[in-house]
Amino acid sequence: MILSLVRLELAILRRDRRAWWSLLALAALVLLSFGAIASQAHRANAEKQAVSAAERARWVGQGEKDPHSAAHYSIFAFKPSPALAPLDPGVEPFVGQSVWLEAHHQNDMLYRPQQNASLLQRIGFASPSALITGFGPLIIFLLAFTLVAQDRERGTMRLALGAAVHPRAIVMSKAVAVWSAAAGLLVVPVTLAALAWAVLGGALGADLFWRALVWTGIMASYLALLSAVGIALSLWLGNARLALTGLFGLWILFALALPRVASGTVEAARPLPSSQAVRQQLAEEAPTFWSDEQAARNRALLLRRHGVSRIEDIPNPRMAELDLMERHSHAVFDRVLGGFYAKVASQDRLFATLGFLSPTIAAQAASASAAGTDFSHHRDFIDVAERYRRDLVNRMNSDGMAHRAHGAERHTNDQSLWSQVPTFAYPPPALGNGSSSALPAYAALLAWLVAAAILLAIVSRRLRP
Amino acid sequence: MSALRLEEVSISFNGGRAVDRLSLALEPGEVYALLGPNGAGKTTTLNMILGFLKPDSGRIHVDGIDAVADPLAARARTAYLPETVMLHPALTAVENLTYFALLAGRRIDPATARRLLGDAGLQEDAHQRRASGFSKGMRQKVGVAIALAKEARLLLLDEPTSGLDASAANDLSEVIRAASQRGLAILMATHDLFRVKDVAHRLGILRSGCLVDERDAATIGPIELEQLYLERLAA
Repeated sequence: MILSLVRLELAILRRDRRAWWSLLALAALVLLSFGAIASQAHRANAEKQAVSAAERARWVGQGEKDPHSAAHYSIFAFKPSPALAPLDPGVEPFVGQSVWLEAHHQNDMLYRPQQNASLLQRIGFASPSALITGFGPLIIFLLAFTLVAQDRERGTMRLALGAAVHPRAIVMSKAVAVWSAAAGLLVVPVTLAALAWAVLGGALGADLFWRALVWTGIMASYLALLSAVGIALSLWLGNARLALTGLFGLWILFALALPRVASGTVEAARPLPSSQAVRQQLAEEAPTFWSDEQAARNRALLLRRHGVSRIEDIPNPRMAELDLMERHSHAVFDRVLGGFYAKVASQDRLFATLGFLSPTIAAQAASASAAGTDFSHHRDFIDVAERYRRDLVNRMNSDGMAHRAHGAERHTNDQSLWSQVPTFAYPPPALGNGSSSALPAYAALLAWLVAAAILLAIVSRRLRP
Repeated sequence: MSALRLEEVSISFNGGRAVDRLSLALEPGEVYALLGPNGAGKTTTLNMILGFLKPDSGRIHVDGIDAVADPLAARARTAYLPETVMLHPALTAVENLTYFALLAGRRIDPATARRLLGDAGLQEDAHQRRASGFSKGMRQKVGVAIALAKEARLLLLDEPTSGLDASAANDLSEVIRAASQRGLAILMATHDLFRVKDVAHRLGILRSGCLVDERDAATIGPIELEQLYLERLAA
């Protein structure tokens, strides 16, 4: 019964050109933005693969040399663009895409796509997610206004209420019609496009499929709660003009004002140190390690570790010292950079929690997490690249320490060692393994959905002509 | 069992009695015209029967169902045509009928919809036309078709002839007679004395919420009705 009513409500929507063409225009923009990001990501991935292959060839072909020098010669690691970034690029445009992996340094990532962004991308409305979360409410409220406020103004609602066995049927069919029109045109086509894109690129796996499904669920839930709120508000506010003003105000509040307030609140409540301050903190650790007292402790540790009483009895004392220094730096990086990343994650968690203020905030945070483009996923790449760097440097140092070399002597190695280092490969984390900071956003979205359903139920019970 | 029974029904707004101890009963197939000027309480009475307003006191039964305690069950047996029947302008007559019938809990196929629209007097060439260009008379015929589709026991008409030309008003009278012959009880709220004389079985005159007179329509002529109406309102 409800489905038949929904079909007729959809016919009313389709025949109202203003509302329907607005929806179609936004749907076209969503698909266009997907296409633009997907082709950009395809080009970038192809370039990254080509440069990665060249880098590997450069590493393997670097010639005979001291392994520690090889660790300094080192290699670039490239972050592949997440497969669902065309749905929601998240932090991708603002974080580096490659990192120089060398001994003693955990370098910053380089080449941020935003450096080459178009004007549309710079103002932040260039992705399907941004368009749906930003303009979806406006279109949905317009559809809700078309179905409810005009009905009431015209007098059709009075006839409907006189005919209805239960007013809930009127409210439900209108809400479902608005939701199905919006989700069917804004979310479903772009999700299918993303899956088709993944199939064409040979990237479709179970994880990607589930991520796409979760992303669809997030957007569909977001549109559902907005549909419920739009219908409820249109019914609750007495006349069409008041309803239009109220709905427009709610769009500004949800989609424009509160996300900016939330961002400002996060910056104020959980401020981040500047990257300069972080680098300074790292730099200040080095002299401590080479103070007289610490140097004596380092030497004692090396003697103990090698079971000798004199430095000269260690097979390759220079390499042993470099290895000790390298391993010390790991702890420093973990402490300083790990602390910094934890603060970023804490910011993300607070922003996601502020999704209880506006469903747009919740949808934005949850969307990036499902697409694998939030900071926690970027952090995963940083960690994988850093583990690779440490393994590479340790492997080089271990080879050096295993061979005698004193004073000006240098042990060297060649391609046989360099080729033992595996090619860098980055497997993105599986769904659910990389986004704990987004969990409050999922909870907020669920709370909004329940609240919107309750609001709709209350309004339908109090429905009067 | 009466199709409609009102017992001592009263309701007040802003300290004033809008309907005062109103009692009346309609049997199946009976057409009752509730006469009175604007503000007499006619539409308020209809709103209470529909459950849109809750009376302060008294009882309302629709087909034996307590309409105050269970307004939804009572509304399921009631069809209602407001003074101005407004359809969805973007839908055709068949689609409008299907839509409102679905709201009434009845699923009807297009052939049934066309038959019901025909029974209600809507010309066949209008069945598949969008309602945006329909006259008030055409919209009312769709409204009657909605009532027929709902298989209601009681039809409430609020000022049904207001704004209709003579031909459309005649058509409506025919439709009301046909509906009455099907066993539908019809309560019309109107101030159109002459038209109701043709279709109503009983007449009630409402003044300031009180039923001040009630007559069998067959026992009174049009001139006497007008005189009686004016006397009762002036009293």
